[in-house]
Amino acid sequence: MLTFAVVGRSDEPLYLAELASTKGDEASYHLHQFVLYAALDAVDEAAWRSGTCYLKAVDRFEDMTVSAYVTAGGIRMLLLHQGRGEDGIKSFFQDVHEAYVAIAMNPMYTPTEEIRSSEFDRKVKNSARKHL
Amino acid sequence: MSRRMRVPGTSEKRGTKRTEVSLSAFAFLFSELVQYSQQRVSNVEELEGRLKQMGQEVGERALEMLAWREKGTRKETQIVGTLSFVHTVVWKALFGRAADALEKGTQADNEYMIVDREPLINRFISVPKDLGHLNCAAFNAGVVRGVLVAAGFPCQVSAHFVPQDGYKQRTVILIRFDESVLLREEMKL
Repeated sequence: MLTFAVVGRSDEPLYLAELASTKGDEASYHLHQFVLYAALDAVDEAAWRSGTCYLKAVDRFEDMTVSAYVTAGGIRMLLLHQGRGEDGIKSFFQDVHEAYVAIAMNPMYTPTEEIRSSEFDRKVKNSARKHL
Repeated sequence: MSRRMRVPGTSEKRGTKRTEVSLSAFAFLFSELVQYSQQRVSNVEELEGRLKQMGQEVGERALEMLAWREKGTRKETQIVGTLSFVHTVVWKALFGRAADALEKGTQADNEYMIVDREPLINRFISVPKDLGHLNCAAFNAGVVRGVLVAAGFPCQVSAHFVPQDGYKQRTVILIRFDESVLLREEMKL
């Protein structure tokens, strides 16, 4: 199980992807999103305590762990997983961070808008295949 | 004196040469921005407001790009660190040199000032008498606000002419942080 979300400064959903093929049903996808969103408070707390972007595991629910990464501009990246390695997760987040900066620099893109770029989607999925 | 302005590149790898743009090209673009805004406002405050808004959009993007490029996976969580980032990294990336001073205000706890003796942006701007105290460095104030708000430090920012030591264009950018920022700083200490 591997669900990835990018959330904006005011908790707007910017991007969501199921990165591992699960034989889950509708309900489990919704559960994944719910767990990720519920972790946002923990992410904020951890973010203001830490001088690094990578926050490691910030919340747990049953057997699932939420790992988080926050950019300088306050954009949160969340990964729901069941015990993947720290190094792989960190590398994944760093790749997505780089892809996000490219999106943010677009003068037509506002930080509250959904990320619809297929290029971004491709980069996220490639990075996930490589590191996770 | 630098005749070229830096522009944060969009598709550069970390560590490569930064792209530069000629000052005249930027000055031309900026003068058009000012004139465009001037036609759509009815007073000086509105004009400064528009320039500030434009600066804010630049600031938000500059923060993401520069933080990623210069600091990798580290980020600022305190006022001093963030202001220092604006004062050095952001100014250098946009104007080719760090700002001249970063001071804490004496009037109130939440006030800070960034001083620029000769803002690059005002180099080719002359303000007519009927526009009074207009300072086009309101754009710079917007950039600062964009960076600070995006970094999670809500504030009000304004640009003022404060000539001193023969620098007629000396501009002080005044930053007033919201109550919530001060409370958060206190809790951490």
